[in-house]
Amino acid sequence: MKRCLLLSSLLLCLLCSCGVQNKALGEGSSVASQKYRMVVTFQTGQISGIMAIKHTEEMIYGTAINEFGVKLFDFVISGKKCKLKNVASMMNKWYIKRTIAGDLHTLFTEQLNIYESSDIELVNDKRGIIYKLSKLGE
Amino acid sequence: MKRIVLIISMLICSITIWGQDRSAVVEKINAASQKITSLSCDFIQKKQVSILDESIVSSGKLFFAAGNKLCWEYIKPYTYSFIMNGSKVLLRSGDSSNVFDTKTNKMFSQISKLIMSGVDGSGITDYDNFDITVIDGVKEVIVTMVPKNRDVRKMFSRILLHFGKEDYFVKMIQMLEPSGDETSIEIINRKLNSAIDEKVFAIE
Repeated sequence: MKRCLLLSSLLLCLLCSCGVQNKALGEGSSVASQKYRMVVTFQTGQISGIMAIKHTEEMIYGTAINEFGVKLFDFVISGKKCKLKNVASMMNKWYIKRTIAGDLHTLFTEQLNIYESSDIELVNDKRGIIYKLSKLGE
Repeated sequence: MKRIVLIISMLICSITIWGQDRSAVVEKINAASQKITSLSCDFIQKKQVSILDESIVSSGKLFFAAGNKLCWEYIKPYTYSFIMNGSKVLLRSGDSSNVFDTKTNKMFSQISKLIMSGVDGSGITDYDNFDITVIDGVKEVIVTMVPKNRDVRKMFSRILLHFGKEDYFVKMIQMLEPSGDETSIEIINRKLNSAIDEKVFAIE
């Protein structure tokens, strides 16, 4: 009986946590995403594709894919932190992730006119990286 | 004991039938693809992004001709072209363009192989690079390809090719990523073996 109760409690906890996760995504999904044509120029090359972002009150969710739909990375910005997820193997190095995460945080939280502008550019002088985003129409 | 023998016999029979069906279906797809000398069509690409809980849709035109010639052109919501002619690849984005050689660029070699194997159906017998299973359904044949190469597997956990049973030509390509995201490319308005201007495949 005790075992049964324990299992039931665990199951309930699991369901509740799933509910919380779904609620967070649900809040995000109620807002339409903003899509940008993206070109990131490094000292050694260039990546291009689409960047899409979605806001909730506390978080910014985003993804970057190349033109063929292959994922480059996902990101989540929460407060002062930006975390990259599902990073493509060619970019999956800690120093690349840390640089991009810092730049994305600057781009989406410190550039005041980002949501009004149709063309946005961020230059990371220290690393020689240029981010160019152009808003895409539907 | 009799029951176990019966079950095992039924299982062996079903595997044999599955094997026969599979090779027959593969032969039909191969026969259909061998008839293709050129192909032009429109495509709709849908990228389902789980973190955003929505799809990113793009569309364009595709041209294919014998001799390893392919033009994969995105028109909406941006313009971007991937042109392959022999071993050369041209990427054109807006005003800028870059030419690569698939012999020296491993990534483009893999991408072009993947695209071509989907377009001409050659991927369904690429047993060296994929674990392949075939499902012969009522309206379509679904070929599931699991990459053996670790680098490709990091990009795509599975690639599904959907062939229509009316003509055994590929009508949709699904690429599933380890993250759970999915890209589907639906091929529409297909024209087979019609003349295509060579300029479409020009790499300058």
